[in-house]
Amino acid sequence: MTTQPITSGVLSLCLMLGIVLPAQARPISYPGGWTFMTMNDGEQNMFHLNYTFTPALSLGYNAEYWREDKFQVHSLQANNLLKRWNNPGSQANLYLQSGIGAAYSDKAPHDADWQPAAYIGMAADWENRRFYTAYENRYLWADDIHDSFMQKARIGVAPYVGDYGDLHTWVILQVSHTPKAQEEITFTPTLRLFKGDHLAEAGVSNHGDVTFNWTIRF
Amino acid sequence: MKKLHVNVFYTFALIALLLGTPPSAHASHTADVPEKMQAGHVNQTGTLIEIGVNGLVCDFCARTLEKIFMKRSDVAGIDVSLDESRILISMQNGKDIEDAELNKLVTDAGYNISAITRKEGHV
Repeated sequence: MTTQPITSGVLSLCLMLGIVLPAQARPISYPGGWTFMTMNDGEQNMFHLNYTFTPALSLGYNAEYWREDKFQVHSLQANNLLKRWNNPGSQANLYLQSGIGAAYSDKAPHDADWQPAAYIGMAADWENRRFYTAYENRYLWADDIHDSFMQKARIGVAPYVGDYGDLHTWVILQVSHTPKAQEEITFTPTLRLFKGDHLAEAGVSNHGDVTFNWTIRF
Repeated sequence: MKKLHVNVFYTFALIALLLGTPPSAHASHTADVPEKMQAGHVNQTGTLIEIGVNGLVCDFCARTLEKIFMKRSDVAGIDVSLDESRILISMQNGKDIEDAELNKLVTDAGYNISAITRKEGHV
């Protein structure tokens, strides 16, 4: 029996909002806090909503759509803060991100097929008021629908240093590596703006793909 | 299509540069006591707690401090300074938060404390 994916409406909404996900800006908030993230890049659209239970754990729902291979993944995602270093003028973090759920594809030869899916990855970052670096990787397995590994690195600089309550601006260069993609290496200069509880990023890759990310905390 | 993407990016960058040096929303200070808080208000007759915070480098992340403290009924206001790596908590009259509890609240927000000082009834 064929099951209609829930995703159509969700993903349509994601696409309309220009959703993006990932280099997830701090996937764990304060206990009792909610975080909403969206992400678009040259390969996929993602939507993530999580609730923070403890200073080291958030759980949430993740939906992603891979446009070229025409499959989607719905999962429960856990974000674990493994270690944080708080220094007088900087902060560094190490996260483990994992998810389990199901993938759906109606692209031949899968024929409206659901398969189990899971992923795991690490993320690390360091920043001070002027500079920012980050790295993350992820291995996604969706049975015979898809399996791939990707990794990204970022380096950023703040053209000016703002204080609390200001509009903050970062200029970031992201390099991503996806061994199984048609274009293995992608460079994306990105502009990050945040003020209050909103963070937005926009960029254009060297392949001409627009990326857009949006994160809200509440 | 590529030209459109480039134009979108440069437009976004230009907007960011034009907005690049906004006036700071940070409260001005008279001696150690700010005239106003970024959230809530200054209670001139209550205790003022100054907390040095390590790791306080990102505004977006520091919002958690404001949310955690402003949920409490004993807190009148909070002022956050990334420049000074500190927060100021203005307490309601007759109220205080013990150091152990302050440590837990700041840790829950994702930071740790370097110093705590109190100023009683700072009128």
